[in-house]
Amino acid sequence: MFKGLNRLIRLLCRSFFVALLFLFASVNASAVVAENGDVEFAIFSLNNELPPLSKNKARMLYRGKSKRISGSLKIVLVDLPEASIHREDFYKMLLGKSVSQMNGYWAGLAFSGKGSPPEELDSDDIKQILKWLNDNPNGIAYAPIESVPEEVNILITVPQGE
Amino acid sequence: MLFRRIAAFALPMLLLSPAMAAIELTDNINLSGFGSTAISKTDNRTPLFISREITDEACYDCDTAFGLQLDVDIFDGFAASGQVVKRTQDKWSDPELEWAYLSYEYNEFEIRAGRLRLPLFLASEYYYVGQAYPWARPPQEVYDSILGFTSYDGLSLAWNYELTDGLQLTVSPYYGFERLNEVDLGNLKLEFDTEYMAGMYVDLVGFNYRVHSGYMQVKYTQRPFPITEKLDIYTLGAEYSFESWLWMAEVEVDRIQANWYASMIYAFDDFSPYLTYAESHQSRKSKGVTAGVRYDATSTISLNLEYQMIFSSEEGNRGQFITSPLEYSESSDVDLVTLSINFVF
Repeated sequence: MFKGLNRLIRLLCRSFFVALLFLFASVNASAVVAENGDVEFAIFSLNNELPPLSKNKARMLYRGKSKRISGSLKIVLVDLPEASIHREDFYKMLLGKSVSQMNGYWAGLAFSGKGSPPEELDSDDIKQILKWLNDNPNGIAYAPIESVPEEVNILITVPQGE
Repeated sequence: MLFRRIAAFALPMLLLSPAMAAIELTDNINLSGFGSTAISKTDNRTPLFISREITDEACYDCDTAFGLQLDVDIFDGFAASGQVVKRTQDKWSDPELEWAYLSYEYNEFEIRAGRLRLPLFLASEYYYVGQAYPWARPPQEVYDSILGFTSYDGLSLAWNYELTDGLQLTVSPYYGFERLNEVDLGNLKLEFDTEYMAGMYVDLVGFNYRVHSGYMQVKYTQRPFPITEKLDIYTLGAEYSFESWLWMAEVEVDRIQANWYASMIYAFDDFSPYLTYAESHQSRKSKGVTAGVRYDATSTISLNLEYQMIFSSEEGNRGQFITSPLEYSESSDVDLVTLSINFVF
């Protein structure tokens, strides 16, 4: 009986140690991101006719204050899921706003008939983003630049752009 | 009752939209909603604020508002929208059709026809949506200046012109046809036969700021008096956000009054404390300070806790009450505490 208990304790200790390692590794990783602002985002489309965006224009689009590029091309936005860390980072970087602040703004726009919040994807997997862009020719999306395939049309990068 | 009205409204909308595939149909129809409710209490027996009438007994439904909005994309630039709201003054069984319009958008132009929202103030267009502004209520000094009237029946045209990449100009004239506007002040019912409401707003919009200027002329007769009057109303407001700060200020001026407020809000992640100062002059005479905090519990639910102090600048003046506090042999100053919850879906 004591033998069994011993084994159990050893097992627990080992898994605890492994969990701690993971925890340490992940804390470390997020610390790096936070410190260097390591994540760089690309705002991109599969439509090659869309012109590059200025930082101001990108900000107007993502604040829902502008819906068009070049006067007549109506743009559709897509958002990553609310739980996605990329979404939080992206809005902080581009607009300096938190996700809850953004939700407040969108409520104001939607309930004054001035626009509706971007459609939200189920996951921040790049395959899903590309599939959505494929279905929406005037759609633009954002994702960490390293996950974006080469052949897409990158309109601007954040925070480097302009 | 509410549902009957919604159905009565929604059904023609459904029938109006072209019979596309079922999936397309749901894709183009969007139902959303919002609501707010609060516990509020003052230290004065005189009812405070038009259409809310908060007194020194804890009130659980003075600030309750609930709305449903249906948006339908009909086709290429044509859209319809309807909003039914149980306003703070309404009974649940008798909500108000706050707006119902058809719109057509062509490049930089948008024309709307139907029942529309008066675009006088920064937050006019989402006046009942607590989730969309930082406070428990928009500052009454300014927002109650036209007795809380929020809609007109008529036409509007909006021209959205991009001055630069980061700056948009919106010019929007509107015209509202004849209608009867009613408001209850305690047991008193005011009725205005409005011949027309015509005006225009001009907005300058950047990604982190908005300047809103409005003008409206209204020609009306107040029942039972036979005199027709004209009132010119001027408004100017601005909001600016920088990093975690948001500043807002607005002023309203017409022949019988001048009102303004300034507010600053700071966002610490989910907690946003704010401070507002406001004044009313001429017809209502008061000065007020509001300190509060908003907590974003989730992305669609927020709570407000605020403390508001309103000081009368003339004994016996109505101030922000619905009538003179002398009628209740009460002090002209009042403190108000509010705990509210707001949600959208």
